Amino acid sequence: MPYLDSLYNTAYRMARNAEDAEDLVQETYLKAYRSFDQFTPGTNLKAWLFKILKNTFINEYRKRQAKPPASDFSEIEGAFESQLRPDSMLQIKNPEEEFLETSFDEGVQAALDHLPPDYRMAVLLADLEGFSYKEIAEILEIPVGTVMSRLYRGRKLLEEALLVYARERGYLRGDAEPSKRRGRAEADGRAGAA
Amino acid sequence: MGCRRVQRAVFFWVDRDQEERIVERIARHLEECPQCRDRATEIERLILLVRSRCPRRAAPSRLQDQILSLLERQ
Ligand SMILES: [Zn+2]
Repeated sequence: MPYLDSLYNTAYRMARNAEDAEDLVQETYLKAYRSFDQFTPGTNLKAWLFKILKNTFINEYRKRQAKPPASDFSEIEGAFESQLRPDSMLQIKNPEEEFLETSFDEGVQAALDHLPPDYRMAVLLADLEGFSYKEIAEILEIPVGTVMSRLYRGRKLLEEALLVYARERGYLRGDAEPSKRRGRAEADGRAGAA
Repeated sequence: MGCRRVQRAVFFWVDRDQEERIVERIARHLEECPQCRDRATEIERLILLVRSRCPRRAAPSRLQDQILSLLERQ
């Protein structure tokens, strides 16, 4: 099944719990199956599936909020909040905390989880899934300039949450540079058009 | 491009391989300005750290079977 793990990982980071992530992915494949005649062979299948995931996520948010339709992520913050550990952000903001390797990873997750959904989605697509700005624009159905603006704000918030601790732990020094330029999993490869 | 605008652009420096416009816009400035260069390097390393340190969650193995049986019933 193409891109299952990528879709699941993104769904999990957006919904922030396994049950909703599974529902979102299941719904995504179902919609993809039903509207497969709208997919143009030879174009970007991965981006097409992620666009369906994005729309599924927004629709689910609308349902839970029981509010008039929002055209975007802007009004939908909060619908999935219940699963979020309230102390996780405090934890990474405590400079006296002695950080273990694992808690830095948790800090990265918590910082991501606390981004507003529209910024979070842009960061996930760029930094964890490796989509280009143009592909993200296609998935989110917004101009490239808006993609960059969301990416900037998302990355800036991550910096505010993580920079000091990353610095203190020496993660940002030259000799501690991560060996991989792109750390995300490439197991299911880049999109079909590539 | 001046320091003030480059301070925003450094958040895209990590993507310079795939987004050539970024290079065109700020590479010259970074060559000439040590402060912005240090900032760009640090932000790049931070973003690479996020990429490598955020654990990925694999889909539960039963999910694929669930979806396949759902599609079969369509
Ligand atoms: Zn400068």
